[in-house]
Amino acid sequence: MRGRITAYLRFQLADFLLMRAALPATLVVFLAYMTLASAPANVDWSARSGGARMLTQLFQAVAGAFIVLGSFLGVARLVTDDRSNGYFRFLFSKPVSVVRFYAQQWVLHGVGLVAIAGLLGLWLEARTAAIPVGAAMTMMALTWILVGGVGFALSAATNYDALLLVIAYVASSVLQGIKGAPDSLMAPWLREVTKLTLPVHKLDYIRAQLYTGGDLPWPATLHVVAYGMTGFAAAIVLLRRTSLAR
Amino acid sequence: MISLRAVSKSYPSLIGRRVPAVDGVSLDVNAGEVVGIAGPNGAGKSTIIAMLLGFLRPTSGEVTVGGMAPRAYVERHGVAYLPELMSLVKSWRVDHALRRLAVLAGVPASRVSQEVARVVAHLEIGEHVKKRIKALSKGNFQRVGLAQALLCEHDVVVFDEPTHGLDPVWTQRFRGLVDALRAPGRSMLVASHNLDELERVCDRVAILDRGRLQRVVTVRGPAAGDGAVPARAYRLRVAGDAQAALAAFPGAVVAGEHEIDVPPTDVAGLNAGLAQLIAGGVQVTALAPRESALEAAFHAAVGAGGRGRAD
Repeated sequence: MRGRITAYLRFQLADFLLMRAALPATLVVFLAYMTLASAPANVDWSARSGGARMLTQLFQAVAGAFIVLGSFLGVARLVTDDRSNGYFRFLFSKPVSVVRFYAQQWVLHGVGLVAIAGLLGLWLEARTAAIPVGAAMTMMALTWILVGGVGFALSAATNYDALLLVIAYVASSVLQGIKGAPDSLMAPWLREVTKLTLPVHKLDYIRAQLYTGGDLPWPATLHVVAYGMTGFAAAIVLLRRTSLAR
Repeated sequence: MISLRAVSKSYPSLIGRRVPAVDGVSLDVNAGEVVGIAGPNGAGKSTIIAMLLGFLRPTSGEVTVGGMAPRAYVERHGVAYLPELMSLVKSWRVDHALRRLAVLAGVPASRVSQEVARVVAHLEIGEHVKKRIKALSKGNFQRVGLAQALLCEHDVVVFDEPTHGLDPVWTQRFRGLVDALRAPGRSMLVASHNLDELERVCDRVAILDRGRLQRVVTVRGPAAGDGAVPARAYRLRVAGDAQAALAAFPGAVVAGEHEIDVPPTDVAGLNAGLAQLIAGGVQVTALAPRESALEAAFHAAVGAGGRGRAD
């Protein structure tokens, strides 16, 4: 008898909504609601003057918070939880593929985050004026592929994945910020190392393009996707080749 | 069905040396057989089980289940497995946990409720199904663990310390449960500290110590000693003064007002001593081996005190 991994999707979805998506979604709704509630009653969100600028700031803050927080919470301890708590003994004595179980969960979390980002965008749009909801969903997807892909690999490899992911993300941002400065004095070897870090600066570039109505910059997008999917592939290899028990 | 060939597993220590957990173990569990694994703490019982479920990879040697690599076998067929280290998400309700695991086990959607109800009734955990895992006692949690293992019929059954935390009633029922699971095509492996338990449910018992297989004792079936019974120590209870019984058994000592401990003796020596006692008018009220064949083999393999506990 083969396990019904596809049917198990509904349990993974419930876990995702409850354990991973609820917190960032609630947080951004709260932030947005407080901002909207404190705005003047007669504000015109579509006006070129104050309203539109305020909405742009609100949208970028809310979208940024959800995208980054959602990506981190979506992938943190994805494999680690089952491994370190010993749940894997029950889950994987059943006739299910470990790789498929986690790959399905990873895809579900990504799709779920993009869908929630879209719903939150539509909600905000309904309360205010037109905002680039599609751009926010694209940024959510790309950030998930990058952060989620690397986080998945870390989770398959170590029990300290959440901490390492935060360190990797922050270190990448800092190093790329220094490298990109006009008068950067970064040592050549450190420049080479920086090239290997998470392409967070590419995400920033893509976001700037999309949020201002530009087209998707394909080279930067492919760089981000390739980096994230390398992480995903590494996770699959690790799940296949290393022991579940440590 | 299950085959371990010169299997070793070692872990690197902090100072770089490798510490062996399992060392060159070879063991077969045939279809239709129940094999026990006994050994003190740290003997390597759970490591062997982790390897045959594909949770750990051996450092050397080969483990196969149904002729396949363990992980491949488990992913294709599944295993009825009760782990020693039971862990489920504490906020899950019992029925919810069983439903989830039934889906993963491959129970068709139309039969999930029915199968969950069956194992709940079988393990008599009906009054606990709406409780969260964290609210269960150790014994009830163990029964939930047994219930999830029985959600589907599998050809390989692995129980690791199955009676740990169970009350005496359920400990006894467990024996019936193992007997009911016996099937010609099914291989069962039971790891336990409890030698009495193993002797009652297993056909053979592999005794491990310090990661090495010390011996395999046949406790049931044609090879279990129907012929020559090895010399055993006995405890003898008599109706009168125990002192009167000492003369019939050289080396015997008084163990109580009406009891003597007879040193290891063969069947002929035992019967001769009993005949002498009875002829002398002493009434024998009870006679029992001081340790079973398995206990004797265990103590011979591991040492009288063992390195750990052997209940």
